[in-house]
Amino acid sequence: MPAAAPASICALTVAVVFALPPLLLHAAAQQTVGAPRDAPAAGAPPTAPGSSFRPGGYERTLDGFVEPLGVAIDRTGTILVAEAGAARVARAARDGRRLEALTGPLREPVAVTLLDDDRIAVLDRARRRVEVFRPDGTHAYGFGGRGESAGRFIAPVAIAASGDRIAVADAGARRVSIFTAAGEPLLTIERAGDAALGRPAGCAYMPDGTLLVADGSASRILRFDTAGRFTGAFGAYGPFDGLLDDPAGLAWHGVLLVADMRNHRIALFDDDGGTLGSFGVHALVPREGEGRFHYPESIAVAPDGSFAVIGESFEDRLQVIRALLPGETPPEAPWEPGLIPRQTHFGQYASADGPLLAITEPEAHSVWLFHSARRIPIGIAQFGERGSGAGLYVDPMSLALCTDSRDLFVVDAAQRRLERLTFDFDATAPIGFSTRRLRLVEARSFDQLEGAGVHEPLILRDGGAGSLYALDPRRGRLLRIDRASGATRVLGGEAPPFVRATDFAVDVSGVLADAEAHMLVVDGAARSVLRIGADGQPLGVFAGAEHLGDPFGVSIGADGLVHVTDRAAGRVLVFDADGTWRGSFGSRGEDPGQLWKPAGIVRDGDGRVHVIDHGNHRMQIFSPDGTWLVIYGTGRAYTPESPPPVRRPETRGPLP
Amino acid sequence: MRRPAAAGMLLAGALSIVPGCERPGAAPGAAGPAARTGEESPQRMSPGSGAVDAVTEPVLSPPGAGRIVSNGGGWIVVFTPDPDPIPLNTPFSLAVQVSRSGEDAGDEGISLQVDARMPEHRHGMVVRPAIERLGPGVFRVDGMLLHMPGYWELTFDIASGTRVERAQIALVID
Repeated sequence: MPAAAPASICALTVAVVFALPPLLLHAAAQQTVGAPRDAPAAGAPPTAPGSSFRPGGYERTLDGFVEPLGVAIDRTGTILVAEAGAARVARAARDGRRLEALTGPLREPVAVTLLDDDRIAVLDRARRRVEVFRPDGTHAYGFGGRGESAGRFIAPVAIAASGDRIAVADAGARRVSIFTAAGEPLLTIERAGDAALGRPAGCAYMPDGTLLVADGSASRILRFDTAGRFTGAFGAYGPFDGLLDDPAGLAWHGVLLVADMRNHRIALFDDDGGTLGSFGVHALVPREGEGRFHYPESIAVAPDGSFAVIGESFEDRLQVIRALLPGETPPEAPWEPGLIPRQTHFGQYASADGPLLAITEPEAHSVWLFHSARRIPIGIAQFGERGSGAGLYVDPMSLALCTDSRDLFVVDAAQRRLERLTFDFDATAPIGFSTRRLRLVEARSFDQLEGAGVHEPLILRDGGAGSLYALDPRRGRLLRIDRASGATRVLGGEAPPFVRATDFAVDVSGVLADAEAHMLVVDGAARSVLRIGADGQPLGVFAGAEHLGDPFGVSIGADGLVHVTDRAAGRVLVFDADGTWRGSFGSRGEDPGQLWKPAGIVRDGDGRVHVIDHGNHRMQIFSPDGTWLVIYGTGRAYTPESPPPVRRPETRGPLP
Repeated sequence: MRRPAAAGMLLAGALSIVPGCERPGAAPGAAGPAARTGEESPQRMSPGSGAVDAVTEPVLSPPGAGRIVSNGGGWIVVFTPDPDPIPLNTPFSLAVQVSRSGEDAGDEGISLQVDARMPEHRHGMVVRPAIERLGPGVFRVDGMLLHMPGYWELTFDIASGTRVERAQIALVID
């Protein structure tokens, strides 16, 4: 339960937390309106509002969006929001009024930008296309498509425009493609000096045509000239100002603003990469906001520099931050009480087998092993730290647990590596935690699987008989990997049967009504669950959009029940083995039994349903019919007899 | 710092300690402390064929020379520290020979990474060691430093092609 906020935090004057160096704060206060749009000299503070954005304070929250992954602001101050979950680009005024949305040929818009002539370019993740709209909102034309040849995309995530150029960051192909505004491919950037791009996650143009690219896996900002030549980089992984943790969206307005996603703040840099501080602090309680951020991943600044908008798809909201006013003294960085609760930032995938359950914790760069045969699961091992060598992780994403053989397979998406760990476990021994329990056996680069055309990331499942199944969601393919040799075989035909696969489950008990079906694959973009044969061939739809809003995870129980998580609705849908819908449980929220953006789902050895309550940073256990049983993480657990303390965002006021 | 004149002499006297913890053929789920034998058989013969079921791990004490089987059973690593035993918070070197299980000769095509970490503290060394290849499967590692007392794991990552296999041994530094 958070302590009461101090009076200074509850003051009516609402301003965003920021931590600029004192000299820069003083200089920023001297800004005057209407100064030239020149970038500040390297290392010097910008001096003119309108030309260099400086945060002046939290203004308001715009919520109710569905997966708002990209934002832009046009020259009238209208906010454009790429709502991946609503197949539209919403438009809103700064005061929150909703305006007419852009729809047209959009399926999963993830990013939006403005061309110089006010046309609107929208990046569609599912269709792998850029769609260009006229300023009046009518659709004009589009380009792109799925593929690896020039001008096509694998997993596009960000877009930026300058003059006659449109840049698209493609996290799947690990490159940035530059087009003319008409859609003609101009050049492709795949390397930054001697290194290949890691995971391009954001991009922005500077006024001189310099392209800035956020490399999420390297936690760096890369610079390229107009010819696509690499001209430098800045930033590195870490928690302090000037350091980044998984940077995503970028915006340039006299200074560079970086959505420093896993540091839960906006970082500011000058045009030479020098740090200008940051603003925003981590929202410690889910749903908390008002200047506190929770995985900010997109950002835009109004062309007149009067305000900025920060997108947080994790919370389905935007926060409006006004600019510092001329002559205004910047707010002092407020004191934030030390209310850090014990939170476990689990990843999106888990694996259960017999009495054990394994799950990733990407922000701790590690994996956890739980003993799940007790009423309350107990963590018995943690393995991994951040690093680039074998046994060290940047982004441990998915795993497959094979208890009988004492194998735990882990995929590090950022380092494109598949690792096999082994572990000690004695079911009859007293349960205890040990950092020595898991040990690395071997690591294989995805390059060794390259013959199968593997892109990161991979979602793993135990296939039995010495094999793993792996889902390559970006290419939409299933693979079978021999555990011992690493030999990889592509299943199915050449045409990807999935638009954007998010999870899959293997029918190890043979309970599905369709005897030919061996797997169920969730296609988030198509809002469906597909039946897939052991050979990878699609066999039809198991469950479709009539029941599924935003499906993500799937499990198949030995009792014949199939559970599917729905991220948007915060619930779990239950189906019979033949795909008949039986009902659902859970609702969107923070209370016991409620879910916020639930992700992976697994059944334990006793048939209980473990749901990764991703947006609430916890696991929850339900009975197969939906009775809530347990909340747990690392170091905490709650049951109906011992429920969690009530904790509401309003217990803390806006900042400062 | 001592530097061997020839690779073949590098590991003389280094084969007396065998802290491997293999239990090939143990039934999954079986209880009991890890064995400590002198066999060269791998800790795990093949996937699914056996498992170690005790967290208690052999600890190299005093932290001197050792001969270990890689966690996947494919490699034998023999190492000798200099000075011996490994001192606390003092730089030391390692002479390392890596060979495939069942073979005496070193492998021409492998590379080696050596590290040491404290898993309970979730950190490694504060230095990055320099590794020099002296011959097929023969390496010299300089610049190691265990700066804190306590439980360390010394890891040898043997890369062959795009596959890396780990050998490791636990040390306690007082």
